[in-house]
Formats: sequence, C-alpha cells, structure tokens
Amino acid sequence: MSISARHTLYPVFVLHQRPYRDSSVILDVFSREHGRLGLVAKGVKGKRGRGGLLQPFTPLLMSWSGRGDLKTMTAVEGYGQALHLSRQLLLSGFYLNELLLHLTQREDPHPDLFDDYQMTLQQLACLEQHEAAGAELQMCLRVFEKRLLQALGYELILDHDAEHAQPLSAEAWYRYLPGQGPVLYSDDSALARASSSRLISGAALLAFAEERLQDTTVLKQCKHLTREVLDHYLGGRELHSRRLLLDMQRTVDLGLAAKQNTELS
Amino acid sequence: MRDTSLIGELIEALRCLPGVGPKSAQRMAYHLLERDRDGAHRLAAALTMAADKVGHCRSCRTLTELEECAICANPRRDHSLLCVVEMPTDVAAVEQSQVYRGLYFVLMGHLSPLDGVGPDQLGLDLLGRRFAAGEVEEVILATNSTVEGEATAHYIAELARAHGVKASRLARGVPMGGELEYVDGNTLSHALSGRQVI
Repeated sequence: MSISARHTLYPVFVLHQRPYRDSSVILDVFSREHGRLGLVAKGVKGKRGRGGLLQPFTPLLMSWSGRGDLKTMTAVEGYGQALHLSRQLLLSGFYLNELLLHLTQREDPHPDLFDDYQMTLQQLACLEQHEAAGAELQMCLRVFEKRLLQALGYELILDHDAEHAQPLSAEAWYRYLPGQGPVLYSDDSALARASSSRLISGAALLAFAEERLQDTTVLKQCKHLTREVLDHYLGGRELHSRRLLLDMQRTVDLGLAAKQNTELS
Repeated sequence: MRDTSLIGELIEALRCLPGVGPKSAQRMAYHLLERDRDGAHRLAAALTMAADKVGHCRSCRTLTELEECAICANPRRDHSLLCVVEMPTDVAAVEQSQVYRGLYFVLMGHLSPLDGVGPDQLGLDLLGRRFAAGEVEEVILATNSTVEGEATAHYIAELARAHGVKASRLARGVPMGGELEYVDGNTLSHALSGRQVI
C-alpha cells in the first residue's frame, strides 16, 4: 500500500488538523479506501502553503507515503465543489467528525461510510440555503448515526424484539438496551410510559428502519435512541461538539428573549 | 543518557522553544556561554521578569505586565469598536495595517470541539460582560479563516446579537498581488460570492 499510495491520489476528507512545528500540521483524515489515517503535512502553513485547502468538509484527493502510525502527505488537490457549512451546520459537521474520530479505528476502511459521510455533508450544505431547516438537519444526523453504527458492526436492531425474537409491533412500546436491542415494555399504563423518556414506540423503530423520520415524535424518539446507543459505544467520553451546540442554542435563545423584551417595552 | 551538568541543563531548557531541537539548542548554549555572556545575563533577567510579571489585560485578555494594556488604556482610541482576534500576534498584524483605531479582544485560541476547547476557555463570559456594559457598538470578527475560526465567529455573533451589538466579519478574497490562477477554489468562491459593485 505504501508504494501505491505515494503515487495514487485517494479521495479523503480532513476530520481534524492541529499545528505541528512552525509551518506543518498533523491531520486526521478519513479516506475512502484506507479508513482513518494520521498524516503529517509539512510546510503547508504560511504564505506559500496550501493550508487553505486542508480544511475539514472539503473534498480532497491526497497521496501519502510511510508505513507507521503517522504518514507523510505527499500531494493534495481539491476535488469537486467545496462544501460550505456555516453557523449551526458547521457545528453539526464537527459533530460528525467527532463521532468518526472517536468511533472508527485507524486504517480500517469503510467505503460505504465514507460515501454516507460525503452525502450527509452535501445535504447539510444544501440546508444552508434554506433557513430554519431544523427538522431536516436532525433527520440527516439520525440517518448518518444509524449508518455509522451499521458500518461499525453495531447495527441497530429495528425489526424484532431482542428477548423473544418476535417481529416488532407498531402499537407496542419498547426499551432499547444498547448492545442488545429493543425489549418489549410490558407495563401498559400511559403514566409509566410518560414518566420514562427511555421508551420508544414500535412505530418509531419501524419507521427508523426505513429511514422515514418526517414525523416529529418519531424523530425525537430516534434522537434519544441513537444518543443512548452512541454514548454506550463512546464509553463515557463526552462529545464536545454536542455540548457546544447546546451552549450555542442557549445563547441564541437568550438573544431571542432579549429581542422580545425590547419589542414589548 | 541525560547530561546533568549545567551546560546540559541549559541545552535541555532551550529545547522548550518552538522549532528548537537538540542541535540548535546546543549551538545556542555554546554561543551564549562562549561569545555573549552579557547577552546571556540579559536574556536570563528578561525571561525571569517577563515570566513573573506578564499577565493578561483585564479587559482584552492580551499579554501585558500592566493591569490594562496600552491599547485598552488609550483614551484616543475608539472604544465603541471591538475587534475579536485569536492571538496576540493577530493584534500586532492588525495594528501594522494602521487603519484600525478601535480596541481588541484576544481569545487566546478558537472554539475547537475536537480538542475540547469550549466557550469557557476563550473568556467569552468576559466578552459577554463587555457587551452587556454597553460601551461596544460594533464587534469586528477577525478570527482566522479556518472552520474553527468560522465557528468561533458565529458563536460570538450570536452572543453579540443577544446583547444587541452589531457584528461584522472580515471580508475574504484574493490577496494583494495575488494571481487568480494560484488562488485556491475555496477562497475564490468566497471572493465571488462577496464581490462588490464598483
């Protein structure tokens, strides 16, 4: 691989970059054919460098050499249209990158996941043009999370009960146990259901299996589901981009409240 | 094997500087000891003084030995304009352009969720208090043109909006003396979308 990679340009996305020495950077890239890689890109900062290109969310073609954990980038070119993410969508992009960084192994190729990642970024970039596309953004993220889990071999079980191996019923309620699957929830009282946010309806599970997430209650339940399952596989690691999104939302709300106050007074 | 002599310790200490490896550290140490003892004493004194006395400006967070840095304390500067930059070196860069007469706010970094850097580490609570104090009318977001810089600018823009402060972002485009052929596609698309009528 090290010989061919030196001369062949492979499609990659930069997930993260951090400065190294005066003018170099260390990159974490996600490549279609070789999975996640650590690369050092020498002399790319400064006036004559190509630092502008080596940003996350930009489709790139890259070649590298070396065998160890940290390879050396030998060439890079822009590839296709740059994806413009800004504002809230930029933070969602960081969230995708953080998931890939923490959940994928180095040099473990996932071509399908790469395509899903690229498609999700394209969808986010399209949302850019429409203001207030909150639900669509959530839908994109849920579908990506589902496919990420699938690619990693932790596929969500969305068709049968993990305990009795019965097909899911749209009318029943389930408790999803991370690592096992949905288990039928027997206490039928509405009060018990309402008090536990960790329950998910059979209808929502079946809809998620087909990636039909237009319904807001389904979307909300799926959000809780993927969060719980991802947290399980992240093993207690906190996602900083998620916290940043919440912080940001608080600031936005504060702004809206301030605006309303001035309008009232 | 680690050299425990005074010279060895000096070489080891010099290596904490960025871009200085064992070889350059050795050259520096021998130069100071052999040819420039005065320089060595001056360096040592300046380092001790700076390391002891320099702190952060209470209003803009830049490095200074004063409680308030010279720019913030200057009454002739425009106190209604605030330029937010990532590093003290960015202050020097903007100052060099000699067109800006307002004040600065130095974040000492940028929002970087993947490195665990959040709003707390960047002193955004202090920035929020400055917005709330009402002196600032416009904030100019001069964070780097990287995705992290963009995210930081957006966050601060929301913070400014919450306090009713106008926010603007530095324009991006073709550099002076730049030839279009060599400008990367990202920059060029920003330059096109941000074009101006002449």
